[in-house]
Parts: sequence; structure tokens; C-alpha cells
Amino acid sequence: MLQYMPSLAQFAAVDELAEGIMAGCRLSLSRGITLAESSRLDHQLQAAKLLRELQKRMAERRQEAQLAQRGPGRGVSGDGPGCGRGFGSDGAPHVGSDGNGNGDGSGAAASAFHAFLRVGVSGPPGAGKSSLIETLGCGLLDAGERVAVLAIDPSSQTSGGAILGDKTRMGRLSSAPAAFVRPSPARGTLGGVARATYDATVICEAAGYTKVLVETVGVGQSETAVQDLVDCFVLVLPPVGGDELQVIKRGVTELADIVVINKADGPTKAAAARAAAAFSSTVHFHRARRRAWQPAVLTCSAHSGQGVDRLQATLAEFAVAMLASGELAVQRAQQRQRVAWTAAEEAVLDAFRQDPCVRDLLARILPDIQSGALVPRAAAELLSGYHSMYMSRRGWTLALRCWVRAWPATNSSIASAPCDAALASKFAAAPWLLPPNCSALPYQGVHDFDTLLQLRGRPAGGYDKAIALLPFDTGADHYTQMAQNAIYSLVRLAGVDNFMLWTWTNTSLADCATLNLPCADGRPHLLEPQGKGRDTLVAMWLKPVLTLRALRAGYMVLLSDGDVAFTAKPMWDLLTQLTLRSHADLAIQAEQYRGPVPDNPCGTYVNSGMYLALPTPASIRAMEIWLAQSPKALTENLTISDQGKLHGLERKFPLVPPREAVPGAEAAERERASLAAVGALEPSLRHGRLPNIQRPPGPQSRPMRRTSAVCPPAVWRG
Amino acid sequence: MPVYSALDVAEQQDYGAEFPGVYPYTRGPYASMYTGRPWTIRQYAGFSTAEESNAFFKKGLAAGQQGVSVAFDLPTHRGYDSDHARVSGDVGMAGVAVDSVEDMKLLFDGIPLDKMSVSMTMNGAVLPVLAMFVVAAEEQGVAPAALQGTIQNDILKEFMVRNTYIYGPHPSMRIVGDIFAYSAANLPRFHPISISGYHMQEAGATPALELAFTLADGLEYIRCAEQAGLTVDQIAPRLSFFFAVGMDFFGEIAKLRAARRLWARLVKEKFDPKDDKSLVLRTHCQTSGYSLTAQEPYNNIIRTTVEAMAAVMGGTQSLHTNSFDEAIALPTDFSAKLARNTQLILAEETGITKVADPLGGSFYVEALTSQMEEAAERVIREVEHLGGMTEAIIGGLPKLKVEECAARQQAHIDSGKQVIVGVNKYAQHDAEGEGPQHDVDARKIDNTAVLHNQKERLKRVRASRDGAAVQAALAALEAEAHSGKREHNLLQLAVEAARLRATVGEITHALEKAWGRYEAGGGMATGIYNTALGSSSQAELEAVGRAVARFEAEAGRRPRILIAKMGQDGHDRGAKVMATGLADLGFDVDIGPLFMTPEEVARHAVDADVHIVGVSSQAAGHGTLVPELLQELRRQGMGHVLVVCGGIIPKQDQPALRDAGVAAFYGPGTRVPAAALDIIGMLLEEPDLARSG
Repeated sequence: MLQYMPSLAQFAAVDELAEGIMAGCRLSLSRGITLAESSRLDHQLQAAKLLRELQKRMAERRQEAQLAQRGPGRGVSGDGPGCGRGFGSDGAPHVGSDGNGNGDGSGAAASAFHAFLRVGVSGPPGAGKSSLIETLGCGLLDAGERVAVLAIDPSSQTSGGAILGDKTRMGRLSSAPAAFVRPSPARGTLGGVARATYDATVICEAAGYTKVLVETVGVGQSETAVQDLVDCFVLVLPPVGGDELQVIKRGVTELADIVVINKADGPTKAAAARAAAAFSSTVHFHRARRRAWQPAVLTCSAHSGQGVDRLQATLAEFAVAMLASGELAVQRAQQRQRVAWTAAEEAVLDAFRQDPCVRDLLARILPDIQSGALVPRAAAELLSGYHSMYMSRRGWTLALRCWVRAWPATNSSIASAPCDAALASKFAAAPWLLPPNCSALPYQGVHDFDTLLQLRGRPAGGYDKAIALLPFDTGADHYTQMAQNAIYSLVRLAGVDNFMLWTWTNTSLADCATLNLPCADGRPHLLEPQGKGRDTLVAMWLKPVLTLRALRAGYMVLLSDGDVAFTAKPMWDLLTQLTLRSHADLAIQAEQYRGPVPDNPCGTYVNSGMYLALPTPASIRAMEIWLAQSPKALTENLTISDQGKLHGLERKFPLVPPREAVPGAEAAERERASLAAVGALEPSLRHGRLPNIQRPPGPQSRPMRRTSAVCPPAVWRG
Repeated sequence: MPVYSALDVAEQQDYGAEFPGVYPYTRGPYASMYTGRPWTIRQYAGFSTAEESNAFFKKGLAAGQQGVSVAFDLPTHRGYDSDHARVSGDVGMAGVAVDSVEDMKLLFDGIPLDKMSVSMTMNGAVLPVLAMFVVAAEEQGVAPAALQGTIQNDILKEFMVRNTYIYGPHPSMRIVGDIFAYSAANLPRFHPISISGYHMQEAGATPALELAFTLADGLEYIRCAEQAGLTVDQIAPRLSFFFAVGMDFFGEIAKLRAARRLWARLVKEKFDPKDDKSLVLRTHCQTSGYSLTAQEPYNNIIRTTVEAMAAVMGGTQSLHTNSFDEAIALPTDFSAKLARNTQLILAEETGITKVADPLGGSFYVEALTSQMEEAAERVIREVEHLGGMTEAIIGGLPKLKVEECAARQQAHIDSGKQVIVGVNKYAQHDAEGEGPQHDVDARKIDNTAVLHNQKERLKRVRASRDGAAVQAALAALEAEAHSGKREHNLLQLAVEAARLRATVGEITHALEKAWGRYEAGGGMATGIYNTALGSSSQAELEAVGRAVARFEAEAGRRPRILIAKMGQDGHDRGAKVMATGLADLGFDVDIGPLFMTPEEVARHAVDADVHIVGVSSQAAGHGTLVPELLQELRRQGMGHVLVVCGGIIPKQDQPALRDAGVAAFYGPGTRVPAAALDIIGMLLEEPDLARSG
């Protein structure tokens, strides 16, 4: 496996890769582009690092070149092939000052043309784009340029595969030493291609390619995407006339900086001239897209080469005009902004599309949508509501990547975890969620943590005993709805009905009793000192206490604050698989994840309100260490929450290393042993009874209402 | 329909009224057919050096052959001299290497060119080769007027399927026209073209499509001759055709009968000739090479026999029967003799020759003939509407249609819908999953010796000639090509250059300077394979889909394979079928230009950062080219790439290639999904994936 694909370890050497790219090594360049195109999450992170690295190095090189140019009477043209000429920010062109030493911005067309230029070449199938690029590219090579071609080929809708045949039409260019031709599959989404291609463009420029030609097929959507990648948009058209012309003329030509009517040779020569005349008259009617450039219309023959020199010269004129006016710099700034936004959109959309729960929901409500029983707007609301719930699950993914870094981003067991249809009917048949008082329920009146644990815990996820713990407090007004959401989604969507609540006030306990919710009295377990003001903070320190208690009793524990909604199903199986298969004992949700940094590969924050702990010695030890912070935290004026203390926990525990380094169970055992060997701190816990907790001042709590407008959605109730 | 009756032929006006030798010639071009003289046995052959081929010809002639047929090596086809850097692996491998008149003279040494009919398979470098033939005869003391035989000279089909073109369609047709004009004036007994459907069927076309495109080509060539100043009656009687005969027994017979009827009708309608001879279609046939299998190769003897019978029942004028070992390597003396004897037995032992068109009047054959005619005519009308074959080819439609057929056929074979005994049905496997071993003694060619020999001779030729005169002759060729005015006949100019000892490469290059070398586009049909595979293979498709998805999750992208053709071998059916099949199974497939060097392929692999390189070889060049490729890959930092080979790689060559680093061989008869699973299994280092799939 590893032999045939670049492993994480190989990619870890991003510096080396950047070095190779800057030195003009073909293999590094090609690998860099592969990295940018990869769908693996770790590759994407590496690619981001690579691009930052390249940016930095190009800036350095640019400075060196500028310094050298200021030297007395010297026109320095750089230190390597294609280097030192016209580097701008991420390769932004500026008027070349090579050769004569005075970069005053009024350089002749020829010198400006040595600057970096990104050219998009698009047009309908059969227009002869590839052949034109072949001829144009060879002309540019003759002029001393280094030429990279990024050709985007469509991927099949059904199989996902692609035929990448551009090189068959670019024979000379693909074997020329100063050229680089890379076909890439479009792989479905436009935004994804746009990001990868933008990155590839930058990588090519770092490798010293002064002219990057981006070829895309078709007329339509893809042009607007290409627009964001290139400086100059060349539209290639076959010599057509009449109605066909009308169709093409409207949309796309407005985007073109240069319209080329190809195949102006042989029997189609006259038709090409006619088409060019027609286009010339229409482009002048378009509202000018640019101040510095009026679209040009040319005819040429990629086959005979006639007219291609004119195209080359026009590109040079374009570069000069756009550079001198400063319009190009503005355009690049806008492009960077758009590419960033598109990439973000794409990521969100991708997550939405791939979410199994969204898919499952869609499958279930599709008949209603089609029959009209559910209006499209309502359906959209349901689906997008799921999407925002998804975002909370994304936090889990990040946490797991943090604690279990090598977990593959697209794990099939997560992706394919079915949304349990049985649970849906269970809910429909058992409207006991926030039910009326019913004495038949076994936990009625039971508030002892240990007893309730036994009543509510049950086998799950391959463990004999499992429990979900939720803090509960009626003190806060909006808690009514939040708790409903939490419990509802936990049971309904995550398939967890072995949950119990815990609280620390009489009022809350009374409310739970009224509502028949299984709620433990946390007061016997509260820590000291307390009572100096912020009771909630003291209560929050109950989390590790109760978790530890359940762990020691042999329970797998899922702890979740009340302000969380769930979508993942089946939750227990999924989470235990995640932790077990990644050799972790404890997985904690990450917040404000900032990616691995050298001294803290875990990112910045972990969230004490969301974690899964397996009943293993290592996670018991982790809870103990966490609790050991409590006396200090509670004495320091009660300002440090459990959250803040948990924040330091990851530094004390070795993170699970990349999976490549931990093959098999043997290594997992080593890992567990090393966890157990950490620190000999003894927790100093106080289990004293604290009877006099006062009801907090303020309005009396109201009985909880079933707020059906929020939850569950109307569509499931019927 | 299981039974045919009079009802099926009731609508045919001419039914029962047609006779051999009478318009529309459905039942044969001549009234007597084989009753006076059987068809001509014409075996295509040619090996390595002129001397060796010469000896082979003499042997064949002594054994009863009435004509000789020359196969040239790929560098000659593509207009390269043997010392050109690009072609070292191909010199003398798939035919004889001819660089100058000196080679041509050696080739025909002791063979009386005024008495012996010579057939030359040459399309790309027709000008220098035909010129050298004329000059060699001249220096043998034979006048051009006495020369007989034929040169293939069918450039249109090269653009569709065989790819041994040099210049683009328009300049190439100019050459064809000049050859027509020259031979009308100087070579009265020589057929200046053999319009070939053979390679289309080999590339995947159905018999009907083969028929349609071949006749459409024929119409285009008549127009081409008219542009060169000839009349239809000057050219049409001199046209000859060349069809493939595959395993569809009655379909092939019907095709040949329909070909004659349709051609006669079309020529009459479009050109209105005065001479009846202009309406007659005469053809050479060859049994199908595609139908031969590498598995259980002796089955091929039977296949060839059945195909030969179809050709004869269809009324062919001459016939080549393939040797049974051609799916594995070039024929040996033994297998060549067996192939020849197949025809001798049919001609002399069976009594088939006693009656003209023995199947005429069969309800089934007559109905089939009409269906074939209708199907072909539909396509021909479509092509004519596009402006004729040259324009259609530039548009790319014919090539795509053939490739579509090929992908569909492969899918039908892979799904078992089309049966091939010993391959997808009744295949015998031993414990290792290999078929029964036959120790077929394949012919080996020592390419290095041939190469050395040719280079030496070129050196001598260049040293002994009048350099200035040669340059002047070449300049005249270039000037004529540049001017575009058709003032001089290009063949005439080529004859003069050849006489001065200009080489094939030099004459080709002179024109190349004006016209450039043509590169075909890589448009390719996708989705055909998948669709045609059908539901019977659904489970297998899903298994491949799962494997691809697994790989994608692990690697961050789909498995990416470069399908490469190296050397001057232009037979790209295998490569294309594999490419479109794998793309339909979810691979990302890079295809390179034809005629690449190992260094260029390796570079392509680097640029595209592929996981796999698949080398397709049909022309025996693998022995040197594949190890060179592996070395280049390592040199360029791509030593980790998985290299697999497809096409015709003799078993005895495989151990050496395996040692050099080739991971797998996928010979003729490989099922695409099986190869896909095998490849992903190797990439994931899970060899069982293919078996459990």
C-alpha cells in the first residue's frame, strides 16, 4: 500500500517538497499538485502548509531579486531557470524590468510578457483548444518562456472515472523540457476543481513556469470558475455561423478578453473570417468589463500555425495594459477572496451532501416532497436544519483528528452509519419524551446516582455497560428548549436511550420528578470549597467526579452538555469504533480547532462538555488527573472552570500518533502502557455531603413545556 | 428469427435474376469465378532484413505462391530511417526495414518483377517506397510499364484505425492523387491502391460498419483521382479492395456479396462511368487476426479455416490466411506453412471451387445480404452528407464509431454474451489459474543485429552518393509541397530523388518541412463499455466500484493509470479499449500520444503522477522498449509506479520482463474488470482482492 502512494510520512516533509518545487524539480512539482488535488483531509492540511511555504520562499526570492536589481548598473535576470523575473505576490506579474535594470513600469511588450501570466483557454468541444495550446505553447517556449498547461477533463457522472487525453494533442509541448502538461479530472464539483487548480497554478509559478495555461472544456458554468483562476480569459470557437453563433455570443463572450476563431484554414477559412467579423461587432456592444482592455477578436489556425503569433502578441499587449493600469493587481486580490470563499462554500456543501443523516432524511421525506405533502420550502428547512446539526458533529471529527490524528477523514464506517429507521418508529410509538407523570416508570423517585446508573445503563457499542450523562438545570430560562433538543436528538437521532440527567438543585430535581425524567441528585458528590458565589462553576466540577464514578463502576461514558444536538447514528457503535480502532481511550470534542502546531499538535481548545470515555485504566487516570486540578481551581476565587483545566490536559497525555506508526494491536498496547505510566498524582476528592444549596435568586422555575414548534419537527409527528 | 423463407426475400426485385459477372455483380465479379482458376493465395509476410525477406519470398514461391506480399517495419511506415533516434526498438521488428533503393534491390533480388505480382502494404511513406520500387525494377532492367501488383496506399483508414499516417488528411490525399496520376501514365499493370476495411474490423468495427466506411473511402478516392485529372473509367477499374473475414460466418459472406452490389450501384449513381469494369468490386480478403486467441492457440487453426471458407463462399479474388500463433508472436515457418495449406486444401480437396456463388438463392444469405447493404448504405449517405470521408475523418466521427464498436464488443466478450471457446467459455484452468500450456515455438528477431546492419548500409549509401544532387532533389519536393499549386507530380519527384539514393527518411522529411507531422486528437467515447456490459455483470461492476472507492479513500484520489504506446506501433485498439473500459470502471486514465519513446512515457508518468503505467504492445518492440521504460521510470524518480503490459507479449519473453520489473501481463482475452481488480489489488497490496472481488 504505502509503496504505491505518498504516505503521510512522505508528505510530512513538506519543506523538502517546497525546496524541490522551487528548485524546478518536475517530480516535486507533480507531487505538489497531487497533494493539492487530494481529497484526504491530512493531504489538504499538508497542501495548505506547502502553499504557505511556497509563498514565503517566493517572497524571499523576490526580495533577493529586487536587491540585486538595485545593484549598480546591473540588469539581473535571476538565479535559475525562469527565476527572478517579474515575481509578484503569489506570482502576481509586474512589468518586467529584466535586462535593462530600471523597473519603471514602462517596459516594452516583450519584457512584460516575460512576467507571470495566467491564461484561461476555454471553448466548446471540438473547437481545437488543445491544438491551439500546443501551437501557442511552442511559440511561447521559442520566446524563452517556461509554459505549464493545466487541463481539466470532465469526469464521468456515472463511473467517476475520466479520460485524460490532452497530451495526445500536445505531443511537442508534453515532451519539451521547458514545458509541463498536467491533465486533471474534474471530479464532479466545480468549486473543488477551482481550488485545486488555483493551488496548482501557484505551485507551477513557484516552480518557475512563467506562463500557466488553464484549459477547460465546454461553454457554460465552468467559465465563471476559470475566471477566478486566470488573468486573461481566451475563448476559442470553431468557425460557426447563424444560430449557433447567437447561442454562443450571449453569455460567455462577455467574459472573454480574447476571442479566437480557430480553424481558419482550408475550407473553413472563409467561415472563420465571417464569424470573426460578427464577433467583432458584438463585443463592442458589451459593457466594457475592464477599463484597460477592450476584448480582441482574432482568427487563427492551430493546425498551420497561422495567426498564433498574433495571439501571442495580443497576450503580451493584454499583460502590458493590465499591469500598467494596476487593474491586474486589483483583479488578483478579488480572485484570492473569491477562491477562499468558494473553497469554504465547497467544504460546507460537501459536508452537507455527504452527511448520511441528511441523505437518510431526504430519502424518507422524498415521497412527501414529490407528492406535494411537504412543500419544498419546508423540506429545505428540514434539510438545512440537519445541516447545522451536522456542524456540531463536525466538531467530533476534529476532536478525533486531534486525539487520533491518523483517523482517515472519509471513514466508511462513519460515512455509512445508517440512520436507524427503527428508532424513528420507536419515538413515534413512545411519546414519553418529557412525558406526563407516570408512576410505572422504574426510575420514578430514584435520585441516587449509583442506583440510577444501574437502572438506566445497558449494554451498548460492544460494552457491557454504557451510559450517557447530561447535566440539567432549570435555573436558566432557555434551558427548557435546549434540554428538549438535547434529549430528543439523543434518543431520536443518535439512538441513545440509556441516558440519565444529573443536577445539583432542589428545584431542578423537583422539575425532573414532575416530568418523570431520570435525574440523579449530584449534591452528595459536590466538591469543596463551594458556596462563594458561582455555584454553577462548582457544579461543573461534578462532571469529572461523576464520570470517574461511572468509569470505575465499569461503564462506558458519553458526557454531553445540554446545549448539544446529535445527528450521528448509531452513536454508541460509532464512537466505540472510532476510539477502539484508533487506539484511544478518550475522545474529546475540539473547539476552535486550529490545526496541529509544533508544540501543541492538538490544536487549541478541547471542550469538557462533550467527550466519550472507555472504562479503561488510562481514561480513569486521565479523569483523575483532571480532577486533581480541582482544589486549586476552586480556591483561586472560583474563576477557573473545568473547561480551562481540561485545556491543559492534552499536554500531559501523549497523543495517539499517526496510524502508520502504530500498526496493529501490539502497538496499541504499548500506547496504553505509556498512558498508564504518566504521572503519579493522587486525586484529593471530597465526597462530603453539602446540604444547603440555595435556590438561586430570580424568578421561580416554570414547569417545562413541550415546545413542539421546535422539536420534534412536525413532519414526524403525524 | 430462426427460419428464413421466400417471404424474407420477396421484396427483393432482383432475387433469382442475378448472375455472377453481371451487374450488380452480387454473385461475383466474374461469370466463371473459381471454376477456371481458384482465388490467388497471397500470404502477407516480411521480416527484419531485406536479405532474409528475400529468402522467405523465394521459399514461398517455390512452394506454390503466385505473388509476393511485403510487410514493412514500422519506422519505414512512418517515414523514418533506421538510424533515427526515435525508432531503434522497432527496426525490423514487424516487417522489413527499407531505407533506400539499395534495400529495395536486395529485397527483390532474383525475383523477376515483370512476371511476379508484388503487393506492398504501405500507406504513410507511400511516396518513397513506391518510388524505390520503381527505381529498383528499373535497375533490374524492368520497365515501369511491366510492373504488376498493388500498393495499399489507403491513407483514409489510417486516420481512423491504424495510425501509420505521416501528414494530415488533406496533404495525404494530395499524395494519393499524384500516385493515381503517375501510375495511370506509367504503371498500367499496377494497382495504385487497395482500399482496406480489414483494419477497421480488426480495430472493432462490425462487418456492416467496415463495409460502409470502406466503400465511402472508395468513393472519396475516385473523387481524389478526378481532382488529379483522371476520369472515373481511368481509375475505378484499377481500384481493389481488402476486407477482413471474421467468425460471423454468414454475415461475412453477406458482406462480400453486399459490397459488390452496393459498390456497383453507388459508382453508377455518382460517377456514371462508361466502362462496365468501373462498376466491379474486386477484393482481397484476410482472416481476422482479432479472432485469434493466445489461450489454447491451436483453436486458431479451426477459426482460420472457418473464416477462409466464408471468404471463399463470399467470392474473394485473393486470400491471406493467418497463422495460428499470431496472437502470440510473428509466425514461424511451420505455422506459415499450415496457414498456406489451409487454403490449398480448401481449393483442391473440398470441391468448393466447382460452382460460382454456391450460397446464392439461400433465403437466409440473400436476406442477410440485403440487410447488410441497407445498413451500410445508411452510414455511407451520412458520410457523403458530411462532405465525404476526408471531411468526416477530420471531424472525428468515423474513428469514434469504430471505437464505440470496439468497447461494446469487449463488454460483450467480458460479459460472456459473445462466446470465445477456451477464453470466456470452456476455458480449462489448472491449479494456478493458467490455461493449458502449449509450447508454441515463437519466432524471435534479433533487433540489434538488424539495426546495426541497416545503419551500416545507410552510412555506405550516404557516403557514395552525390550529396548536392540529392539536396536539390529534396528541395524540389519541398518546394512543390510548399507551393500548393500541383505543378509537379510528387511521385515523379520522389522517383528522381530515390534514384539519386535519397533515403525514405529524407524524402519524408522534405515534405514534412512543408506540411508538418500530423497528430491525431485523443477524443474517446466513454460510457459504452459500462452500458454494454449489461446487468449480468452487475455484481462484478459493484466489486470494482467498491475497490476503487476503497483506494480513493486511502489515496485521496482515484487510481490513475497511464496507457502508453511506445515505438512506431500504431495499433491502438487494445490501448483504447482498455482506456475506455477502465475509465468506465472509475479509473482516471491518461492516454499519451502514439509513437512515444520510453523517456517520454516516463516523463508523462511523472507529470501526471500516475499510480500505474500500462504498456500496450502489438508489434514485438517490447523486448527493448519495456526494460528501457522501467529504467527511465527509476531514473526519473518513479520507481514505485506499477508497470503492467498488455497486447501480444510471447510467454517466453515474460520471465525476462518480470525480472525487469513488470508486475503483470494482460494478453488478448483479458477481461477488463478482472484486470482492474487485479491492479487495485496490487496497489493495495491485497492480491486476494481480485479473487474475492
